[in-house]
Amino acid sequence: MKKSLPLLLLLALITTILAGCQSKNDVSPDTASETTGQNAGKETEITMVTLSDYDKYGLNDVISSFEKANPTIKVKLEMYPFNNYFETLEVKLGSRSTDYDLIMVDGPLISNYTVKGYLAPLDSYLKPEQWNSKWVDSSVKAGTYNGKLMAAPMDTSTQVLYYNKDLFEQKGITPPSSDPDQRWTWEQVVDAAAKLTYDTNGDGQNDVFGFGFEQVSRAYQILSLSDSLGAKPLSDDGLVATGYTNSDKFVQAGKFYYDLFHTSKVSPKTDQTQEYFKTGKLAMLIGGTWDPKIFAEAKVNFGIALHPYFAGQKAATPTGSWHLGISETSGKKEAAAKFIEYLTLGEGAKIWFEKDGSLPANVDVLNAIDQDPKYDQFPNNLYRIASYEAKNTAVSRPVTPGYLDWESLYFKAFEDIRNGIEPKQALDGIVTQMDRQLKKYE
Amino acid sequence: MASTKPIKEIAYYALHILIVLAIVSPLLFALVSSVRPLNDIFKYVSPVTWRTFIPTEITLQAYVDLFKEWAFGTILFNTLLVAVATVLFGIIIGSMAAFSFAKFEFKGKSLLFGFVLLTFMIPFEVIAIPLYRLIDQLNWIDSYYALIVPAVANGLVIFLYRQFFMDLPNALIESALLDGARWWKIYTAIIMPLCKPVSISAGLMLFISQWESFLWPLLVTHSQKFRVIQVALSDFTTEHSTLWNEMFAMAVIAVIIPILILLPLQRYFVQGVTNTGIKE
Repeated sequence: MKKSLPLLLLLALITTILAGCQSKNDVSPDTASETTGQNAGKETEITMVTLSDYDKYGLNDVISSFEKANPTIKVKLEMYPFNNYFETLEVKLGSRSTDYDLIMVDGPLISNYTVKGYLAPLDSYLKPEQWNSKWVDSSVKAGTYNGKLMAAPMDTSTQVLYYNKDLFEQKGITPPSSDPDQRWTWEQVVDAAAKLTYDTNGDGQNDVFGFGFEQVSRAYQILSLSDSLGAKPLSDDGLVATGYTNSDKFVQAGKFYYDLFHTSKVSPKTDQTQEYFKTGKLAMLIGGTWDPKIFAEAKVNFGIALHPYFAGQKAATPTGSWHLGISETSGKKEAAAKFIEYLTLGEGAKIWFEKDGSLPANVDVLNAIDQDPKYDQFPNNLYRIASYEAKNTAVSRPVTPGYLDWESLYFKAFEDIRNGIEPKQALDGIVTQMDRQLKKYE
Repeated sequence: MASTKPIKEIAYYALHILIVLAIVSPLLFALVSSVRPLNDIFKYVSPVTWRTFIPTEITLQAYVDLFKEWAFGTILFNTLLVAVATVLFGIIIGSMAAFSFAKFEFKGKSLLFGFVLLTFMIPFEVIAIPLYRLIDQLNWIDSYYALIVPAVANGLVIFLYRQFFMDLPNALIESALLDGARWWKIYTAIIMPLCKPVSISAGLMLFISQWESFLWPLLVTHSQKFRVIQVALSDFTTEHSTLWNEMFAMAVIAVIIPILILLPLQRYFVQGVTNTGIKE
């Protein structure tokens, strides 16, 4: 026994040295190709940071056709999981590493990255007359900070009301409409939802529910309530929440949210609403353009209707999605800008929409959707609806450098409301915390 | 007297069964969900019935897909390689450092040891950016070096060993020196064999910390061939949906492997920790 330990240590040393060698061998081809790429001088390789699997969703197709058109530029992808994408970006951009040229950024975070100096302004590469009327307004608004274009929209998003046809039929209820003139009000939604909330096995507890939000308590979806009432979430400079996030109209929106869980009780107390809809336990769901594929795989007999609004008020829908920006520390900004132009304004925008299926922010592609008969029928008419919403009712999230701080407190307040705290109390309580967080960006 | 005893016993067991249920049911749900078809997973969650925990349709597809589509073999190899290499280097470096802290006198010893203590009191998030910059400058991004080297020198391991070494009588070392043993011989043949429980505790600690490490591997590696298990797990949650059955399948494996290693060694683990708590 006494002799075995030194022997073990020796063995350990050998194995680890071997492991070390192996990792060296694994790394060397990569670094070798990188250096030769740079030495050659003719070819520029730009690196784009994006989400896991985006290569398969169509970026590879965009890149290969871009490289055909620009033979001197190569685009390399670095992909990270969605759940931790923002933390990863924070460290990589914060370290001022020069390894990255293109960064896929979420719309509401652009102002924060601008304030921190992570992004290079695009104005000198993409002239306003090139894109002025080419992107939908809400996307231009999200990509601009202090009058400068900081990131170009890759796509945008909208939300629609999905409903389970079978459940509506069983209860003999007329389903919601996909005609903008017949758009359901929130009052109609709650009425129908009340009839669709019931107990199937007689244990006294409801197990089918009428209505749910896919992104429970998240500002992206829930803001549409206060937006419909015409409430502004933050002051114009994006630094004050008091008087905005707790305004009377905001509290009214909060009250509506509260009632869904505690008064009419038509919403289930789960955050897995998408799963509930997939398994026929939820009759109506506010969800995105990505959902039909998921629902079809789960064999749900579903229909598509317009996002609801408050009676007598204006229709307002969630919007915003991924933008593409250039890292301030990149040494290849010129080449990077060429790719941005190709993907957001050029041929790439079409390819990206065809492969990925996210709602385009490019007006030309949206117009093509409006014309193409392919989008007349269900389920493709979803894009017709989405295109209408993007151009007419989309309200972007507030522009503030403290978006993440504000959003996480917003989430907390609406989770409290969902758990039974009075809306006024929850929102009054949260705005002081919001103001404290936003103060650091003054 | 005789009649109260069974009632007491029943209550006692009932309470224990309740506690066990509370702890085991989430794990059971994960296990059951991993053998269910994807679209069935949330079918039986409300209302909770026997179907919630007993699958009616069993499929091992999720496990097969792990190896076929997610290169789980590579992921497992990477994680084990990183964890084992960290344990081996960590024990050697940690124990050597601790030995010098415990048995040698040199200038600035207390200050240096203070720094060692600091290293495990500063949260990782604080040093993530500078550490990343350092690894980037060394050109170690996307390599095993980036995963292993920063974890090798562990303050807590040095602390554990030092506390144990402090309790070893100096006479032991002095007599070995008189017999003509060199320091290397003393360290390898006398000291290390004596502190097996500490080595096992430290090894387990390093192993678990690498097995569970997530943010750091996520930051410093991006290609598929360096994926470790926790990063791979987060890949199942995509922007708009989650591949629950495959995630549960991988989670089940991610739990089982450390348990298999921990269970036979746990009695040393406890012994190691209590040993170091005793001071003269």
